[in-house]
Amino acid sequence: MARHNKSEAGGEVTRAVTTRVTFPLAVAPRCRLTSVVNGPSTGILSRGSREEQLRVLLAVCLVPIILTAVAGYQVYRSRTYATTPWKGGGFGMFSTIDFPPARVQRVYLVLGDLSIPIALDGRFDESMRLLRNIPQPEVLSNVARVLTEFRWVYPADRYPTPVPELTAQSGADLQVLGHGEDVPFGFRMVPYEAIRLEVWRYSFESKSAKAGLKIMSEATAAREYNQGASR
Amino acid sequence: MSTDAHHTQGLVASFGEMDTVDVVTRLSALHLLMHIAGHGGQVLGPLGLACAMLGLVSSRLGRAAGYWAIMTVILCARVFLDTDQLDNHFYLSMYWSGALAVSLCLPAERQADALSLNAKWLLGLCMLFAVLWKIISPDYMSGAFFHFFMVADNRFHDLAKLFGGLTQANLDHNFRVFSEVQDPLTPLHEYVVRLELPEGLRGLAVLMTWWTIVIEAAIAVVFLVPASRGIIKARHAVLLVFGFTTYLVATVKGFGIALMIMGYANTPIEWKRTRVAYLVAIVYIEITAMGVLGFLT
Repeated sequence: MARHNKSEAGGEVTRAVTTRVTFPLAVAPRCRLTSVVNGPSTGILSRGSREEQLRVLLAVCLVPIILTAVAGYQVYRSRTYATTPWKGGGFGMFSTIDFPPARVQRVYLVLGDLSIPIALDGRFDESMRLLRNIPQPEVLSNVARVLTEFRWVYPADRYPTPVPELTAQSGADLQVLGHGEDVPFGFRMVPYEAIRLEVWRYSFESKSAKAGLKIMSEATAAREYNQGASR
Repeated sequence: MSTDAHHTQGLVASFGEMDTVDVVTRLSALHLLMHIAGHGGQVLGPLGLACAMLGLVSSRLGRAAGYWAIMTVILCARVFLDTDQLDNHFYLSMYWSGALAVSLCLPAERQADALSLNAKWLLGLCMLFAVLWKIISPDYMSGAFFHFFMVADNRFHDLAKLFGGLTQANLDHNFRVFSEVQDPLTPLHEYVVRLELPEGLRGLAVLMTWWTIVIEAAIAVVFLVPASRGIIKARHAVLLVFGFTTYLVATVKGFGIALMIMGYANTPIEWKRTRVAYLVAIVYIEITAMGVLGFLT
């Protein structure tokens, strides 16, 4: 079976020839183990005792097997949990417009029928990143529940009535307070009832060259208690 | 003229005859230092940088399996902490670091071959997964990905201006649209995304779509099928073409340089010109990442 090919391809080809073994690993205890890994191209790695061959096999197979396992798991995660194919070790970059910057979240304070989109500051970057990366309704619900523990305030001089006449455009006037932070002078708390979160992504149709936005996931968490608008 | 040719041949010979493991370990340490190790937060980042620096300056350390095992642990820790944030070239470089660790555990005369085989498998598998993702992604196969991406990602703007008819006015308009969508106060339920896309962009997108998937599939095939002399030649030809074309446009130098280092490690020792071509490709990718196409627009 063996033929010696002294080609300029050198190493891999010239060494391969003495190792062309076709027996399966399990039934051929004396076969060259690494030939199973790489076909007829692993000559120098097939020399030595069985123990040495096993060491070589491990050195050559371990990392590629890990790569395959991680990449396969990433395909599964992306399909199951809608994580972006661009990240996570699956080599799905440059395959879809669903890349991280193309996902956007929206956060709303809900007061009855009114939903006010609000801007969060840098303190919430990590949690917003999490829900964009894994936009599962459960993740959104958890983040929304945590957000309901925060208080939002509005400037009393802009909304002077006892029940503030907030609109869907009032978001720019609202500020979030940290835990234990006092309500600043001249501000009042927003009596919101729930927080709604949405994660969106772009869509694009190449033939008509039309872009759009579609919602990936959404969740609402009710506030456990209402602190009212006073103070 | 003949003196120049003689000098060139001498240079190729001297580069080509360098010890494979030595070159690969130094290049890998340099690559990690420049593109990978710094991305690690306040602890892992400086630790990774210091480790990469040591491997670069000390040949002895760079050839030690333990050194690469420590480097791999640092990179793995980063992956565990930030699985969904890291780019694929971080993962690929981590695998390569692991491959160096396990290959350098072997007796000295087997290390280069073990590295060569690891490089072959890692190159083939990462391209295989890249192609699989493209095939299962409707965005990609319809041409929508590159069509949209050439206006959405600034790395592609120069190419789109040169060959797709995109103007600065188009870019400014589209930038305003993207900024509006990013604005957290903009309600999205009724929002209409009106991008300006010139006619010529679709043809360019279709061309890029097929070129990319064909060359990546070719790399996957030639690196994963059993070797013959012709296949080995094809491997390096296709990988070098990929390196010299792709990274002129997609300036992801961390990924490109990792691929070229693996290509170098997989090159038979007798193929001096091919080895030099990989070294040139590494420098080329580093330079093109500065945005060479931008000088033409």
